[in-house]
Amino acid sequence: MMINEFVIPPAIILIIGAFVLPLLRKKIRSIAFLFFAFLTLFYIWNLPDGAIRIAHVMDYSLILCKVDALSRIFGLVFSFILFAGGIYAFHIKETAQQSAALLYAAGAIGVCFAGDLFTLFIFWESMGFTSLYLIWARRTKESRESGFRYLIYHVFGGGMLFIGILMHISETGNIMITRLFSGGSISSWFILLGVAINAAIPPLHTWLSDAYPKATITGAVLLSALTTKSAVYVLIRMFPGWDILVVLGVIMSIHGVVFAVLSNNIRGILSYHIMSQVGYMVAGVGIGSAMALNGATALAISNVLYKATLFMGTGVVLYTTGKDKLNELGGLVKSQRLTMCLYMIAALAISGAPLLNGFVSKSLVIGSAGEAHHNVAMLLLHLASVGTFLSVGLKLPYFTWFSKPKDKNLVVKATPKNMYIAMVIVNLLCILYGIMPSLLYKLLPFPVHFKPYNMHHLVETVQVLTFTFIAFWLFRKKLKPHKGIFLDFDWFYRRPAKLTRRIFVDSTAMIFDKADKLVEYVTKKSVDFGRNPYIIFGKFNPEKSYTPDKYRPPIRILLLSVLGAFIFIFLLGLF
Amino acid sequence: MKKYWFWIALILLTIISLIFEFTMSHNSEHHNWWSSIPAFWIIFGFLGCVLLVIFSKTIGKLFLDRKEDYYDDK
Repeated sequence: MMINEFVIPPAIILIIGAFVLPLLRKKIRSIAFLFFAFLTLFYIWNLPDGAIRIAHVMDYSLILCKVDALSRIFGLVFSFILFAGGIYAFHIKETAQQSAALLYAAGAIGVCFAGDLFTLFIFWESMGFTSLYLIWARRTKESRESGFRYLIYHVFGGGMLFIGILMHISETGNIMITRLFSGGSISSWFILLGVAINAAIPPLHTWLSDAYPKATITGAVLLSALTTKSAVYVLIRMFPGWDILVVLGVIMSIHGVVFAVLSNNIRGILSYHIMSQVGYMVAGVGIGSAMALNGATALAISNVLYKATLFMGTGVVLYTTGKDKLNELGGLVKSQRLTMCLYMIAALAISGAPLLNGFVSKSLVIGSAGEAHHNVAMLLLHLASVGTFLSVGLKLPYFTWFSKPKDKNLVVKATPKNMYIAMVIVNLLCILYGIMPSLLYKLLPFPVHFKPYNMHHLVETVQVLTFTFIAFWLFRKKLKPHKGIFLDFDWFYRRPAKLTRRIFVDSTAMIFDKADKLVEYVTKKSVDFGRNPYIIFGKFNPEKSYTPDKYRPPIRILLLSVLGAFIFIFLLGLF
Repeated sequence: MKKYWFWIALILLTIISLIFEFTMSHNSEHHNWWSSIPAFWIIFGFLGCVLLVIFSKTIGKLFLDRKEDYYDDK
């Protein structure tokens, strides 16, 4: 075991990086970004199992860093994708985005290495705020609004997690991250709720499909990798074997697939497929066997890789054309053959095609479902696979690069070279793990006894993919993209938002408005009255002040009243 | 010409996979009800894809599709 004092939590490197970056000269910031990402990657690679760093805060000992196989593999892939994302964003000279990205990755990596619930919570919350910047930095009206919804969602999720953590500590007195048992206390459910929001488990997933398509081009690459997968990590740590997760995971994978068919936005399709893929992982966690947890981990790792490449590919389309709606794209293959090829490798990987990393990791999850006799779940996960190939592997590339161009005058900018380099690097890793799965398997938390390349499995995959393609080709007219959006569970808060605003904002504003008018009226009347009290008797011009000469009453009225008063007093005296 | 070769390759792949399916020994460890249906994964891939398209598009048309400015304030 490594001596306590020498273990620096890996997240610290990135946090230091985020604060050093703005102090450097503009030209070298992108290089410094890569340096810090690579340093973290290298450092995590060399961290020995069992290394631990404890900080004593008040009565608690916080475990800032605790290394085992599971945290190491997640930390590795997160820092790798930060590095690749840094290459992809090399041309961006915006320090705030770069620092936010470093802090965001620090949050995700911090979560992976956290040994206690407080440390986990602090890094968890920091992820929410830093990732928000990557959405807002797009600087459009949509991204601003969607960012607010994202923020509210994550603050709510963080709150649920914190309630759960506090309840858990008061129940058990233990702040360590431990496995929670199904059907346990209410505190576990609160923690699960908080984690489920970040894992985008329906119906709590809409922040993802809402915000990711509106994030910056380079930011979306990191967003797609970090938030959901760090939530999967926590699920693997704390919730293995929760039966409800099998059901939720399967629903999730199908939900994502169905909505991706409807989506017209290229990054919207990918966002729904993040959800669908995380569904596999959630189901794997629910099954809870060693094979299933290995599968969930392997799929999370693979998904970070190919999903990032997919977002990079669609990012190139958005960068070069300024368009991300399928109904405005088409025929780009002539100018973007390389982008299309790199995208297709990742698309085949996510669809589970042989020789790529999706094949070797997805089959672990599906295999474990079969082993646990979840036959229905198994078939539905296969169906989600079909849908993945349909949307990500066929619909999106077909209508972006191949179908007839919708806009003949579309100007296509040149793609920065660094974007290609990033895609190539990540793709190489996808292929490497696909060809040599043992490289991936040996990093997994449990020993793997599984051979993905057997005849049954190959035949099955080839037949499914081939005939999905044929069905797509026959029905491609039906998939023709059209303008518009569609409802998801976000309807439940976005639609009533109008009503809520009417009740709480508009009506309050109206009351204040009425009160304001009333005050103004009363003030004006009293000013007029003060200026000329005679106005209460009749129609005098209120603007003119009282002058005794003008308004002096006739003398007879005065004499008459004096006389009247005397008579009155006299009469009083008589009786 | 290019397309032509592509389809031939697909058909060849299918035939090869079918040959393997019918010649290889059935492993009995995970025998499900669908293992005995010939060419099950061909049917599954095709019907699954068609069903997903039709199902999604139908619920889209019936319930979910809206104009782009649906959530905007007017």
